[in-house]
Amino acid sequence: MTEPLLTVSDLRISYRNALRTGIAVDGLSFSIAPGESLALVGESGCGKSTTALSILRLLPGETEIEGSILFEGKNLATASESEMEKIRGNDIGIVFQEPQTTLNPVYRVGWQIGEVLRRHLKISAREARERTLELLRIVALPDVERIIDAFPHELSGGQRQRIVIAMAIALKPKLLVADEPTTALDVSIRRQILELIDRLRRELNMAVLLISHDLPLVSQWTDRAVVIHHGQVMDTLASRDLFRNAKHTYTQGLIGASLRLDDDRSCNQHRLAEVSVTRQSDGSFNYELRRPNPPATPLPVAEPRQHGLAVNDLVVRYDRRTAVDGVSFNIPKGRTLGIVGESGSGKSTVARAIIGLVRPESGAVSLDGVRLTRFSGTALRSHRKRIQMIFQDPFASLNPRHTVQRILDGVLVANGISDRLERQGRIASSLDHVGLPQTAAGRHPHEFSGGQRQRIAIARALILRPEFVLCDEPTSALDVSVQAQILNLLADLKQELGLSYLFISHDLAVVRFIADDVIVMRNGRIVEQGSSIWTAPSTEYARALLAAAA
Amino acid sequence: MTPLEIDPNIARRYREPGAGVFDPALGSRNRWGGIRFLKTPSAALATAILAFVILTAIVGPILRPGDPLRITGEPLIQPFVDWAHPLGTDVLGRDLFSGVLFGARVSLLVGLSVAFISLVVGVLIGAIAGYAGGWIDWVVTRGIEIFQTIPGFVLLVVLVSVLEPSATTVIIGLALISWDAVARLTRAEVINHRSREYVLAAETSGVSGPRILFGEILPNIAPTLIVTASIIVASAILAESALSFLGLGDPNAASWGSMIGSGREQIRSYWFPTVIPGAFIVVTVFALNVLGDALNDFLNPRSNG
Repeated sequence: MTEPLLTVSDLRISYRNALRTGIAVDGLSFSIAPGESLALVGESGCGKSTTALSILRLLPGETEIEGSILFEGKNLATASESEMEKIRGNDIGIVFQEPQTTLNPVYRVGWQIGEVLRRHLKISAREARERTLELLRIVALPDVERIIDAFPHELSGGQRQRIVIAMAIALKPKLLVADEPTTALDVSIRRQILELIDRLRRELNMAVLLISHDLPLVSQWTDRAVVIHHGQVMDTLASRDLFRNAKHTYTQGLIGASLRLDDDRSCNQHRLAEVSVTRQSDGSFNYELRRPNPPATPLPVAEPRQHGLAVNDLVVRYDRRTAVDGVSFNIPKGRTLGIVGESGSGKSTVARAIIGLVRPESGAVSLDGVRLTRFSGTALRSHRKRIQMIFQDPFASLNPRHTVQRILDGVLVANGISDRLERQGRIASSLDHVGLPQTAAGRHPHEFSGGQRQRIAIARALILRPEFVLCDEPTSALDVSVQAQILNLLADLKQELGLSYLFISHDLAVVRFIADDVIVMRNGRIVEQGSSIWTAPSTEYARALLAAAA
Repeated sequence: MTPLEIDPNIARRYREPGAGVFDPALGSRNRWGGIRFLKTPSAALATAILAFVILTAIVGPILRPGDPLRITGEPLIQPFVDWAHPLGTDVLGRDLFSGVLFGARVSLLVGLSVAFISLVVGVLIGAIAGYAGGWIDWVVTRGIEIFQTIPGFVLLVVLVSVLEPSATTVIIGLALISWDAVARLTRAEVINHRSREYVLAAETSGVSGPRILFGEILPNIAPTLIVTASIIVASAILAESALSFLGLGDPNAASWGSMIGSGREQIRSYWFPTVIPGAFIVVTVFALNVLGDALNDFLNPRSNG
């Protein structure tokens, strides 16, 4: 075996700054061979990004690093700042998650790439421009003569990420660190960016350290994967074995919780695996894997077609831009309709128009044949009780100043339930439904984790006993293991309470799991509908989306 | 793995799915927040100074009963010479110590009342404009702009000279030139919070507009408003002093500004009738500004990155 390019051994990193203190990385060891592609996989807070940043020594000042990071025989953990400046860019390039913030908005992109070249290679401006154009061609940008003089805001997200990659590889580094390089991008672009990174790896014989939370992605695009939890290695294995030969319970849990487009599971028959990690008082962790089964209650039978939530020829305009352009669909009782689409496709606006947060320009929303768009004020409110909504970000959707009790109680009071005992009872039962302890009521949202907060948000939506629940990307801000728990919960609730969902997501695998019917939206219109799209998509766009997500 | 020695409380705080041992050092609110706040040196200093000024204002009349404008001794006694007049006397023989004590009352009264009135008025107007949007917002914004384009102090001087100069007039005049900043800030903050998911969530659960505005949004923007209030108190104290210095304040009340005003003609030969009240203004305003900064750091820990 060849000498490794980078060897991290017994790395220990602890933060000591105002925002957080504690151990982020706890004795991590791994190595990367030249030209190899290695993934650090894990959920929020596991220390994977901290590790990546520590390799480039980009961590904040009050951070203690112990252990060694050997890069070509040099220990980066103890290298001086001037040595690091030579290594950054020259030998190790980095690509961050968000291209928008990596590029300086006031300079042309070509100038920014040229700056890297000029500073490190001491070449003339003209030569730098030539090299920049060449780099833009390497990262497969179209029309490079125009793009070189563009400002970052004139480019799309995918193009910006290509620019960032061009900057990172400008000096032909031996190692490219990519920290969640596709997380902020649309599904259809993700694949292209990963393909690009993989092609560059082969062409430049460069090693890649990919930081990701996405197991299917890692299994497809890397050679080896290191699974991390609480700053320690759980599993190190070949990426292609990730879904087959995971040894550690935690890894198995993540695998069981991850959804892939082709695994053909449906929430009507299956539940996702849940891994629960508990910390003992001596500091060690206990991992437990559960494979729950759907409840024994029979699935609600869909009622005749005319009942349910119907949307007819809905049009929503923001200023002059048409966000939703003639959308119609029908959700029968007890069914789940999934809406899939990329950002800007108008899928969230549909939900907001249904629940009355935005006023549609034309079209109708009706519930069991009664038109809601005709009502306003109190009449609308009384109908609206039957439709509730769950938002994407559980950190933003709960008022940080109120206790859970007050959040839930406020909803009941606003809907005219004046009997205090009844309100107490309803709060207790909705907390029960979402699997939170009764003691949760007295606490503030910040005392809960993201998954628990989403449970509170679901409790709030359920407390009025709605029939329809609009879920706007309810799991996309959550980690895989938490996503699995929330999806299982939504599936259980659907079965127990006979709920119907409108489930909006950019993640096709999630929609395939949770939804009975599906709609694909693009630029405010429905491109394709019906569950046939999973097996035989008829439009070019749906085919492209599926291919990108596979 | 070496077994970690950790506090069980921290262990329970381990929350995010992949997390190690994280203890958010800031941002956690608990009942000891006030004590933590006072542990920052600048906050402690500012609070101590203000507590002293407030104490001065309260015990002043007990310590030195009677009208501070009364002539009680020889003119221009140096400070720390005669213990009947610890801070000396001014050119008319009025006791500076009594003046300073009484001035603290005036300054605090004016500062706090102005802050209170402008907060109530500004928050109400700004919040309604920001929440309602549309033409209401347009009208209110134009109204605020009118007040912002008028030089505040000039308006104040005109008002006070046209009306009868009294503490009430000064307070009303100052509130009139201070509320617009509060209204503008509140409006901006309300608009910012209006589209946040917690507000949308309340809206979708059928919570009424006023309840959302005052029950959900206002508690969240309160920290910003508290910080602004401390700055308004400081600037109101300064403006009141300036008015009194010009002789436009309440002629029947000793204030720090009027003391400087009456002492300024002797400043070349006798420094103390101006410097002593001046020092009180400087220290009080300084303390209020420091307190505002400290409150800002404490209540909005993320604002400074």
